Amino acid sequence: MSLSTKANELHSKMTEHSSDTLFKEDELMSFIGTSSASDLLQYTQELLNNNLIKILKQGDALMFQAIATNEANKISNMAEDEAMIYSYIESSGREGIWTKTIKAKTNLHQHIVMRCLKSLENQRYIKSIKSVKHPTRKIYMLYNLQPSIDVTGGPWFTDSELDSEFIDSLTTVIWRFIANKTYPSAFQSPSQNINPLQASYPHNYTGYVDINNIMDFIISSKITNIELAPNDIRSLCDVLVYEDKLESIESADQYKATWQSIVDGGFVNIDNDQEFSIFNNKSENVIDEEEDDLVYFDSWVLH
Amino acid sequence: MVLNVPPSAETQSPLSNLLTLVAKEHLGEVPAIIISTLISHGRLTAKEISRRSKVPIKLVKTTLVSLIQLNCMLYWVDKDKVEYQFQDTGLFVFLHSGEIITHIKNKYDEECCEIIQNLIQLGNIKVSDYLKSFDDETRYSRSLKLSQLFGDGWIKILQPHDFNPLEDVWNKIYHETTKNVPRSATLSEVKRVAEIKELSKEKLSHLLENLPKDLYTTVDGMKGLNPKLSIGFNFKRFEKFLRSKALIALCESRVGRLSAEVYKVVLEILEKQSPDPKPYINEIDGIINTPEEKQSIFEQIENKLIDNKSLTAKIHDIVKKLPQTIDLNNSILTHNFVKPATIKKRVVSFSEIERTIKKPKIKMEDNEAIIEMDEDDNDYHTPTNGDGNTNLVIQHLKLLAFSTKIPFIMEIGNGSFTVPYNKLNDIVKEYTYDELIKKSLGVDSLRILRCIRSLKLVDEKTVSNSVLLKEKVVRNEIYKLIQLNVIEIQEIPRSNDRAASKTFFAFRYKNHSNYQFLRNSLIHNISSILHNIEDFKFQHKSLLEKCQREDVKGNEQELLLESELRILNQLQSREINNIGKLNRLLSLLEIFN
Repeated sequence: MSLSTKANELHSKMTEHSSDTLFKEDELMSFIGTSSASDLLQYTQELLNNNLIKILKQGDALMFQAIATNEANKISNMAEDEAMIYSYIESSGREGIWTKTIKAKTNLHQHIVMRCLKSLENQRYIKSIKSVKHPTRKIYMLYNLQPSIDVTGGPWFTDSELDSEFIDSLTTVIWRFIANKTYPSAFQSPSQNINPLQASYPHNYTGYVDINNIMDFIISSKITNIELAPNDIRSLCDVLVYEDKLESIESADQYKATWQSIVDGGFVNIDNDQEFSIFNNKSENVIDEEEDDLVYFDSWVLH
Repeated sequence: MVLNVPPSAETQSPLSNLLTLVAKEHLGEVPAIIISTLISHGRLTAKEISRRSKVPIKLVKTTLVSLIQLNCMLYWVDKDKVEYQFQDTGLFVFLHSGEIITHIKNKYDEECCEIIQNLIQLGNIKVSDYLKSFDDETRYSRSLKLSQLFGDGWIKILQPHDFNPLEDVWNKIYHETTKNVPRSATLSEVKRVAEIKELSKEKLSHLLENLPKDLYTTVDGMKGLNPKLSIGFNFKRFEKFLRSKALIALCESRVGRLSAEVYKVVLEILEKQSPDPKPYINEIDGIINTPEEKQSIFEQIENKLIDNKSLTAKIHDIVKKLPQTIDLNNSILTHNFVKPATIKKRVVSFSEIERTIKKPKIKMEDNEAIIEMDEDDNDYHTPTNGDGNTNLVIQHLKLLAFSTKIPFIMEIGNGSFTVPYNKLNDIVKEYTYDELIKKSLGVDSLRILRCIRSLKLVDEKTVSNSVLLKEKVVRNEIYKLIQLNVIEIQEIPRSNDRAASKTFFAFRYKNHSNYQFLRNSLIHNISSILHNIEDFKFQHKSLLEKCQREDVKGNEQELLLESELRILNQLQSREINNIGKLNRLLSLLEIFN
């Protein structure tokens, strides 16, 4: 690859900036100290021939982007079809591109596309990924990129499947953490200093937790190695609110556990002589009866 | 002639099924037939009832008298025609009779319980007729008890309008008022109608709320209810008690057991004066036109009661009435509380706190103590200073007012509290409904239901993203919820021809229709239980009849075979279990009624 000095100078000046910088025509002219458009055309054509720059259109203006020398070498070593497919995969970024789209865009035969993809994959230039939105599609992206959240589905997905177990254990941990902060003796063994029937903080208690406290707790206790954003924690808290295990305190953007969730968790002793209410009724309190005497909640619907 | 309840009684609606069943069991076949005819056809004259039910007119007339007596029938005289209309109060009293009697027995004594039992059996009776059947000594104590029960609202004085349909009473008043407000050139028709409506409302409330004069008479220096008055059991008072019960259960589930005990005392103080759970104004068509109007009328009723102080409870009354058996100590712990297991030496006993705190309790103008919370003091965990119990009661009351989203009570200043019954009514329904869904369909269903409720109108995808459940699970749960009419489907077409393949479906939740549906399900369940009891008793009819024979009664052990005794025992436990279940369902039904 032999480049003229001026072209070389232009390329090195362009690569001094970050790789995704776009340059205008006059910027390039100032790099090589010329005001003649035809000079610039000569050098940019030279760089273009050597795959060292890319031309993009932004509105009506033409923009230039530098390509690193090793990247250019990679592309130069590829076959023409491979390079074309590679350029489409590259432009799809972190979203990835579906094989069918590649075929439509390149107008190449299925076999050729497949062969090129296989060859690029073998050279570890590209990789195949699974999308949560379209689990059946074969999607490719550059080898060194991480798929976007849209593709992976965020932290709740493992191998493009909703990881219910992970979600359940996280919500349980969060609920326990909040319940501990909401009720002084929720998970403690009976003690002389605590009333066994109910122990609550006073109404003006301010020690309830917010999203940041939960984040800190999850990070410090190293429960998971998956990075969670505050929004993820909020969606977990929302789930707990839907389950009626938490209650949000809107004035302070905090959460507190509901007493019913402690009762349901079996952490409260319910006497057998307590009057029936739907809230304290546990499955073991069901009246023992014969098969003939059972009545079903939905019997009217199925009547 | 054999008379049977028509099959339509069972099939036309769950309520008809239940009521005819109760009528049949407590009153017999003929009343059940008449009731079922009236449910099917609305109001009828005696002649029409006889024609439609095929019951001889004479029998219809005698049955109607008993039914009116037992609060199961209303009548309206229109010119020369007397029409009869069915009323369910009497039958609901029968359904709840067990609980009513037990409650009166626990709250008062055997004698009061007997009075209420008699009133339920007789429907209504004149005071003099009732007292006539007792000897002098018993009559004296009965008269006292009658006054006591009347004072507490369990007995009501019956007036002529109690036997008439409210809507007819309202129409009569409305027409009379219309005649008295003439049309004039200065008054627009809209204003005139509004004026007539207001005047009629006043007249109606005057008629219904004012008690007759000469309520009491003094005979031999003893004040008692006027013997000329007719009395009956006041079911509305029992409904207030059921409402309190539901509120206490909710409070126990949301705040805690001891706070619920304090709440129970507050509700007991306010129960008698509390607004009607089903105000009469709601029963008349046309008085209330919009939900906003309904809300504002209900609030007006409540505010009026608060303004004249009849719906307020004072702290010292609450403390005084709190049972001695309730120990509130160590139930409120400050946030400086240190785990006793780890740092035991830091836990200071209640008496020590009293000794160490030099500062006397702060007194408010009305001598009500307030808690002083020392933020810097890390060493105590029970916020008590001075009169421990009063302070703890105040703390529990504040918990009831502020600790959850539910305003169980409201502080209206000067150590007085009130209960916002109106707001709580909807809240109790919602939480009970959710709990029922959780217990019957599972937590996943509850998650989805509450998500749909909070997001108003959502599609399946948004639901599964919000509740973090797999789409397959969400679809299954939504199917279950739709089958039970918990949620509704909203079709959103995306093409002009409304092609099903392109149509998009969203889900939403509406509580009014849900509660109606649930009510029907519960009523159906209650009827099934009653049917069950009837069925298994029928299966062992001969044995049960044998036990009823005069020679066998009391000598069952000797005259019956061992196997027969075993069956009797089984039947009894089966009946008890079924009645237990029936009462559980009734307690749920009353919340949604």
